[in-house]
Amino acid sequence: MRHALLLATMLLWPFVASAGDLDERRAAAERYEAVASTSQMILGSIDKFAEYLPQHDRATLVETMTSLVDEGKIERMAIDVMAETFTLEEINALVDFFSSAIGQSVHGKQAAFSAELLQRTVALIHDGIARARSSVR
Amino acid sequence: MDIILDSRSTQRMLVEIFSKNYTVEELDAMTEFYGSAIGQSIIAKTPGYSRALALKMRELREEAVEGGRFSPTTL
Repeated sequence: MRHALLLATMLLWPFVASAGDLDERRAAAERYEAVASTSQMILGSIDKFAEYLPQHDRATLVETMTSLVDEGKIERMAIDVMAETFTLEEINALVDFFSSAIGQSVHGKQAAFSAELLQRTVALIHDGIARARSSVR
Repeated sequence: MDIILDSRSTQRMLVEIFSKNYTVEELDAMTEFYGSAIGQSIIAKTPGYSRALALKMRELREEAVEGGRFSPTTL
Protein backbone atom coordinates (compact mmCIF):
# COMPACT_ATOMS: atom_id res chain seq x y z
CA MET A 1 0.00 0.00 0.00
CA ARG A 2 2.80 2.36 0.96
CA HIS A 3 4.57 1.59 -2.33
CA ALA A 4 1.41 2.26 -4.32
CA LEU A 5 0.96 5.60 -2.57
CA LEU A 6 4.59 6.52 -3.21
CA LEU A 7 4.28 5.57 -6.89
CA ALA A 8 1.05 7.55 -7.28
CA THR A 9 2.69 10.59 -5.66
CA MET A 10 5.69 10.31 -7.97
CA LEU A 11 3.48 10.02 -11.06
CA LEU A 12 1.07 12.79 -10.12
CA TRP A 13 3.58 15.21 -8.59
CA PRO A 14 4.52 16.95 -11.87
CA PHE A 15 0.84 17.80 -12.50
CA VAL A 16 0.23 18.97 -8.93
CA ALA A 17 3.48 20.97 -8.92
CA SER A 18 2.69 22.47 -12.32
CA ALA A 19 -0.80 23.58 -11.24
CA GLY A 20 0.63 25.18 -8.09
CA ASP A 21 3.32 26.88 -10.12
CA LEU A 22 0.73 28.17 -12.63
CA ASP A 23 -1.23 29.71 -9.75
CA GLU A 24 1.93 31.44 -8.55
CA ARG A 25 2.69 32.66 -12.07
CA ARG A 26 -0.88 33.95 -12.42
CA ALA A 27 -0.57 35.84 -9.13
CA ALA A 28 2.74 37.33 -10.30
CA ALA A 29 1.19 38.23 -13.69
CA GLU A 30 -1.63 40.00 -11.82
CA ARG A 31 1.01 42.05 -9.97
CA TYR A 32 2.61 42.86 -13.34
CA GLU A 33 -0.74 44.03 -14.78
CA ALA A 34 -1.17 46.26 -11.72
CA VAL A 35 2.10 48.08 -12.45
CA ALA A 36 2.16 47.85 -16.27
CA SER A 37 -1.43 47.57 -17.52
CA THR A 38 -1.72 46.05 -21.02
CA SER A 39 -5.14 47.58 -21.74
CA GLN A 40 -3.92 51.07 -20.76
CA MET A 41 -0.95 50.56 -23.06
CA ILE A 42 -3.28 49.54 -25.93
CA LEU A 43 -5.59 52.52 -25.33
CA GLY A 44 -2.59 54.85 -25.20
CA SER A 45 -1.19 53.37 -28.42
CA ILE A 46 -4.51 53.91 -30.22
CA ASP A 47 -4.49 57.59 -29.20
CA LYS A 48 -0.87 58.05 -30.19
CA PHE A 49 -1.23 56.16 -33.49
CA ALA A 50 -4.23 58.33 -34.40
CA GLU A 51 -1.92 61.36 -34.31
CA TYR A 52 -0.20 60.00 -37.43
CA LEU A 53 -3.49 59.90 -39.38
CA PRO A 54 -5.15 62.75 -41.28
CA GLN A 55 -7.25 64.90 -38.90
CA HIS A 56 -10.61 63.74 -40.34
CA ASP A 57 -9.82 60.02 -39.75
CA ARG A 58 -8.63 60.32 -36.14
CA ALA A 59 -11.94 60.41 -34.30
CA THR A 60 -13.31 57.38 -36.24
CA LEU A 61 -10.21 55.32 -35.51
CA VAL A 62 -10.13 56.21 -31.82
CA GLU A 63 -13.88 55.65 -31.31
CA THR A 64 -13.97 52.34 -33.20
CA MET A 65 -10.82 50.88 -31.70
CA THR A 66 -11.60 52.10 -28.19
CA SER A 67 -15.03 50.47 -28.35
CA LEU A 68 -13.23 47.16 -28.92
CA VAL A 69 -11.09 47.48 -25.83
CA ASP A 70 -12.76 45.66 -22.98
CA GLU A 71 -10.24 46.44 -20.26
CA GLY A 72 -11.31 43.58 -17.99
CA LYS A 73 -11.13 40.98 -20.78
CA ILE A 74 -7.76 42.24 -22.02
CA GLU A 75 -6.36 42.18 -18.50
CA ARG A 76 -7.49 38.56 -18.00
CA MET A 77 -6.10 37.57 -21.42
CA ALA A 78 -2.76 39.23 -20.71
CA ILE A 79 -2.51 37.52 -17.30
CA ASP A 80 -3.27 34.09 -18.82
CA VAL A 81 -0.79 34.47 -21.67
CA MET A 82 1.92 35.83 -19.39
CA ALA A 83 1.48 33.00 -16.88
CA GLU A 84 1.58 30.43 -19.70
CA THR A 85 4.66 31.97 -21.38
CA PHE A 86 7.07 33.13 -18.68
CA THR A 87 8.56 31.49 -15.59
CA LEU A 88 7.79 32.82 -12.12
CA GLU A 89 11.32 34.21 -11.88
CA GLU A 90 10.90 36.08 -15.19
CA ILE A 91 7.53 37.57 -14.23
CA ASN A 92 8.88 38.66 -10.84
CA ALA A 93 11.85 40.31 -12.57
CA LEU A 94 9.43 42.20 -14.86
CA VAL A 95 7.33 43.25 -11.85
CA ASP A 96 10.46 44.49 -10.04
CA PHE A 97 11.66 46.45 -13.06
CA PHE A 98 8.31 48.03 -13.94
CA SER A 99 7.53 48.84 -10.27
CA SER A 100 10.65 51.00 -10.01
CA ALA A 101 10.50 54.73 -10.73
CA ILE A 102 12.52 54.30 -13.92
CA GLY A 103 10.40 51.30 -14.99
CA GLN A 104 7.20 53.31 -14.50
CA SER A 105 8.71 56.10 -16.58
CA VAL A 106 9.60 53.59 -19.34
CA HIS A 107 6.09 52.09 -19.23
CA GLY A 108 4.52 55.55 -19.46
CA LYS A 109 6.29 56.09 -22.78
CA GLN A 110 5.65 52.68 -24.33
CA ALA A 111 2.40 53.73 -26.03
CA ALA A 112 4.14 56.57 -27.90
CA PHE A 113 7.05 54.26 -28.73
CA SER A 114 4.74 51.48 -30.06
CA ALA A 115 2.63 53.90 -32.11
CA GLU A 116 5.71 55.42 -33.78
CA LEU A 117 7.21 51.97 -34.35
CA LEU A 118 3.98 50.79 -36.02
CA GLN A 119 3.65 53.90 -38.19
CA ARG A 120 7.28 53.80 -39.32
CA THR A 121 7.31 50.03 -39.91
CA VAL A 122 4.26 50.35 -42.17
CA ALA A 123 6.01 53.19 -44.06
CA LEU A 124 9.19 51.11 -44.36
CA ILE A 125 7.21 48.14 -45.72
CA HIS A 126 5.45 50.39 -48.27
CA ASP A 127 8.84 51.76 -49.39
CA GLY A 128 10.24 48.23 -49.64
CA ILE A 129 7.29 47.03 -51.71
CA ALA A 130 7.63 50.04 -54.05
CA ARG A 131 11.38 49.31 -54.42
CA ALA A 132 10.76 45.60 -55.04
CA ARG A 133 8.12 46.43 -57.69
CA SER A 134 10.36 48.92 -59.48
CA SER A 135 13.24 46.43 -59.54
CA VAL A 136 10.97 43.79 -61.16
CA ARG A 137 9.98 46.18 -63.97
CA MET B 1 10.66 39.88 -46.61
CA ASP B 2 14.42 40.63 -46.46
CA ILE B 3 14.04 42.52 -49.76
CA ILE B 4 11.26 44.65 -48.31
CA LEU B 5 12.69 45.20 -44.79
CA ASP B 6 16.48 45.17 -44.76
CA SER B 7 18.07 44.77 -41.34
CA ARG B 8 20.23 47.93 -41.59
CA SER B 9 17.24 50.23 -42.24
CA THR B 10 15.25 48.48 -39.52
CA GLN B 11 18.08 48.85 -36.99
CA ARG B 12 18.57 52.52 -37.91
CA MET B 13 14.85 53.14 -37.51
CA LEU B 14 14.77 51.42 -34.10
CA VAL B 15 17.74 53.44 -32.83
CA GLU B 16 15.99 56.66 -33.94
CA ILE B 17 12.70 55.72 -32.27
CA PHE B 18 14.35 54.58 -29.04
CA SER B 19 16.49 57.72 -28.78
CA LYS B 20 13.56 60.00 -29.61
CA ASN B 21 11.16 58.49 -27.05
CA TYR B 22 13.35 57.63 -24.05
CA THR B 23 15.93 59.43 -21.92
CA VAL B 24 19.51 58.17 -21.58
CA GLU B 25 18.69 57.04 -18.02
CA GLU B 26 15.70 55.01 -19.25
CA LEU B 27 17.69 53.48 -22.09
CA ASP B 28 20.49 52.54 -19.69
CA ALA B 29 18.00 50.95 -17.29
CA MET B 30 16.41 48.94 -20.15
CA THR B 31 19.85 47.89 -21.42
CA GLU B 32 20.83 46.72 -17.95
CA PHE B 33 17.57 44.85 -17.36
CA TYR B 34 17.21 43.24 -20.80
CA GLY B 35 20.97 42.61 -20.99
CA SER B 36 20.92 40.44 -17.85
CA ALA B 37 20.48 36.66 -18.08
CA ILE B 38 16.84 36.89 -16.99
CA GLY B 39 16.22 39.81 -19.36
CA GLN B 40 17.65 37.83 -22.27
CA SER B 41 15.42 34.91 -21.36
CA ILE B 42 12.40 37.29 -21.35
CA ILE B 43 13.41 38.71 -24.75
CA ALA B 44 13.68 35.20 -26.21
CA LYS B 45 10.09 34.45 -25.13
CA THR B 46 8.57 37.82 -26.05
CA PRO B 47 7.75 36.99 -29.72
CA GLY B 48 5.77 33.94 -28.55
CA TYR B 49 4.03 36.05 -25.89
CA SER B 50 3.14 38.75 -28.44
CA ARG B 51 1.88 36.16 -30.93
CA ALA B 52 -0.32 34.45 -28.33
CA LEU B 53 -1.69 37.81 -27.17
CA ALA B 54 -2.37 38.88 -30.78
CA LEU B 55 -4.30 35.65 -31.40
CA LYS B 56 -6.44 36.28 -28.31
CA MET B 57 -7.00 39.89 -29.46
CA ARG B 58 -8.13 38.57 -32.83
CA GLU B 59 -10.68 36.36 -31.06
CA LEU B 60 -11.92 39.45 -29.22
CA ARG B 61 -12.21 41.32 -32.52
CA GLU B 62 -14.14 38.42 -34.09
CA GLU B 63 -16.48 38.39 -31.09
CA ALA B 64 -17.07 42.12 -31.62
CA VAL B 65 -17.73 41.62 -35.36
CA GLU B 66 -20.20 38.79 -34.62
CA GLY B 67 -21.86 40.90 -31.93
CA GLY B 68 -22.24 43.77 -34.43
CA ARG B 69 -20.09 46.08 -32.29
CA PHE B 70 -17.46 46.39 -35.00
CA SER B 71 -17.40 46.26 -38.78
CA PRO B 72 -14.06 45.60 -40.52
CA THR B 73 -15.13 48.16 -43.16
CA THR B 74 -15.62 50.94 -40.60
CA LEU B 75 -12.01 52.03 -40.88
